Amino acid sequence: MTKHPDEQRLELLQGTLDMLILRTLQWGPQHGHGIGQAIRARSDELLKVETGSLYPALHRLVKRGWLKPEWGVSEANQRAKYYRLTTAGKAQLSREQDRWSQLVDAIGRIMNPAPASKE
Amino acid sequence: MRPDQHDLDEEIRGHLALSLKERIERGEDPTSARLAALKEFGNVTLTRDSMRGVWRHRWLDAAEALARDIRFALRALLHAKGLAATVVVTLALGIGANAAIFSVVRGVLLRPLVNRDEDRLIYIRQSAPGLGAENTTFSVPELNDLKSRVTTISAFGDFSTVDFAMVGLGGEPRMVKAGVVGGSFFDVMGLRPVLGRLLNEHDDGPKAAGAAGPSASVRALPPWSASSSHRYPIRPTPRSSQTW
Repeated sequence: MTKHPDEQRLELLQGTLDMLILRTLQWGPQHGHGIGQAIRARSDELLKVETGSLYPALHRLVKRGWLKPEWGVSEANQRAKYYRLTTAGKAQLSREQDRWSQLVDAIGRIMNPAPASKE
Repeated sequence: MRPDQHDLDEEIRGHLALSLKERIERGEDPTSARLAALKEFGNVTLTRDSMRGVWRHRWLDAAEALARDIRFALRALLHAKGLAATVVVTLALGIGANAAIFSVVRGVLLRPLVNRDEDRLIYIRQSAPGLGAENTTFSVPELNDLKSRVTTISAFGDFSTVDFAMVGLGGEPRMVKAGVVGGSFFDVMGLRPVLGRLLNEHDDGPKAAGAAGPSASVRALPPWSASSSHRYPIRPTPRSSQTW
């Protein structure tokens, strides 16, 4: 994997971190480190989640009832907190996914107007 | 549900351990790998605080801040005792003076009239602009007409003024400005006497006890003596020199 210089790294869009976490946990329970790594790997290293944002976000999602934490043992043979998507979390994910596609669609129409719209 | 300090530390330690393991597996030197993992994590204390902040109640935070502010203010005041005393005395004098002035204003200007139902009390007057007569008196037949025919007013209290010479207050006769009222006047006005009785319906008419002259009269006390009126003995009614 090629390393991206910092200039090429993208800033996380405000309000998308929760959605990315929920989406990542769709594959199964994961600990904070794993979630961060997964987001980085799946974005081809373009997105890097700062731990200073990631962990507070995880706790916020637990508080809202979208994630359920449980202690387990990690690959490093140490206790780690795993986060599991709850039923309410799944519902929230689908809501956010819908909103996200609408947003992308709407912004796309403004930035790249279709030529047909001239009629 | 709410994680404690130990929980948060444990979670962060778990993260660092994983990060470290990953680096060592990649072939980094353990010492530099440890430093790199810490560097990548960033400010541990800050992160732990914001994790805890998610669980904190907002009003509890506000209460804590308020208590801190009050403690700080008290400590600061203790360091400047002279200033604090001056400020307290200044405030006390200011508040005291304001309270005193307001009591006077309230008592003199704002206190409602002592009349009963002052919002239902009206003053009837008649004028004849053509004759240049302002606020002229009503004649007795006019009063009787009003009393017998006006239905929107429940009671009339008629009054007039008269000047007469009075003797008997020891010394020379003097002119007295007196009010002449009908028997219902004091009842309509809702006034109560401090001493004795007020005039009533029985004092009206030619058959009244003092029909030949005003044997019954009411003396008004200056308002400021209302509470100490027992110091003003009412003398026997003076005889008027005027015959009615």
